[in-house]
Amino acid sequence: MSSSNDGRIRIAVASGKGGTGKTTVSCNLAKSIDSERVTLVDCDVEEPNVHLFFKEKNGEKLAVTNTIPDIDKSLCKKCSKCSEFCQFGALISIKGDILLNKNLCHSCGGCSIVCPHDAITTKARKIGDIEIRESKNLKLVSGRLAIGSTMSPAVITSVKERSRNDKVVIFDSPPGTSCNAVESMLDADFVLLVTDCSKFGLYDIKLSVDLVRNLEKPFAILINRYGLGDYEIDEYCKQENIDVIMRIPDDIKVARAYSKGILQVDYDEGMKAEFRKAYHKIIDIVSNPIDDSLKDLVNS
Amino acid sequence: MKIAFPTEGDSMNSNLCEHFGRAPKFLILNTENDSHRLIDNTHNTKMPSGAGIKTAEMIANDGVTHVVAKNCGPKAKEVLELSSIKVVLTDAETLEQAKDAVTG
Repeated sequence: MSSSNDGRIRIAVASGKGGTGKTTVSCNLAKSIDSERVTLVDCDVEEPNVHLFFKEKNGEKLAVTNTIPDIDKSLCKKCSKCSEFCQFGALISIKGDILLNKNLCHSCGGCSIVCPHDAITTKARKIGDIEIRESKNLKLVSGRLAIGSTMSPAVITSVKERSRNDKVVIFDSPPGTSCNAVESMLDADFVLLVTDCSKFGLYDIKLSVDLVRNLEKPFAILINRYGLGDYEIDEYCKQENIDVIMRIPDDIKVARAYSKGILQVDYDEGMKAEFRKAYHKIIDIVSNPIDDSLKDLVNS
Repeated sequence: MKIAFPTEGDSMNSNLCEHFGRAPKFLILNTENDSHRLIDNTHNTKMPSGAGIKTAEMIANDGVTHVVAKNCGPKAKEVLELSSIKVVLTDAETLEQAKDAVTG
């Protein structure tokens, strides 16, 4: 955690359980920030949906590639050194014939290095796409994993790379605690965990809290659809000394607007101000990090 | 026929292992002379992922004609079938009973 970010901030909006409202929150948050140009990065490359809420027209499209081995059969002496080396089972040797499973290749490049006959070179393989849409106040970076590919974290890394030089960045993370979610949070200064008042939500948010604590990221919780369910989440946050940065009341009007691609901040000035307040609270937490042990002292 | 059975034991009376890729050993039965031998698979069981594929590779290179198992993942199955090995799934308990699934 750095106490001075030169006004730069990277916020990951994540969750345990899916469907708690990460995308809703990240979009509303991005749109509520009037003071700066915001970069919103859709890291849910298996199911991107941020672009559905913005009218910014189609932008720059880029391919995301990784490298896979290309074996020259005329040079291959069937020694099997490459398949012995591969940690991922992507290369196997059946009676000397080398078989490649492209989807298992993690692009380490090791096979081409260990081949004693220089029979292996590398070639590019498309694993996804990036689209960058821009407007005056917003830059939207969306990533999408190619059908049939499994290399989500690699696509997420490329997507994040497009926001590297931007000042205010919000990452819309994929749900859960898998490699995809971790990759989307790695560069964040702060993680905003979105949950609801359901039992599933509570169970899963505990897993997310465990993850962000392991990653040593400052974080807070936002309770969405507040009032629908129970209040065990409030109890949990109190017990664990976790900041609840905002509670958004459950409201059918929000769902109706959402189904039309309309965000709360588009029609509710009060809610826009609330999101702006949450943003400033986050900036404050990141600029003035407080030790967890000190927090216990302050709260006792 | 040369039949490979994933197992934790060492004879035809032993139980068929639940796993393929993470089976600790394989018993290879030669039906022509009724002999059998064991091959160790522990080096593949330790792999974090891709164990099934590496195990299939080992079995395929052994000259086996059939694999009888309780389970076999799709990637491992693909490797075996590419090597013209017939994969037979069974819920038989012992290797002796599982053998019937192939020999009929």
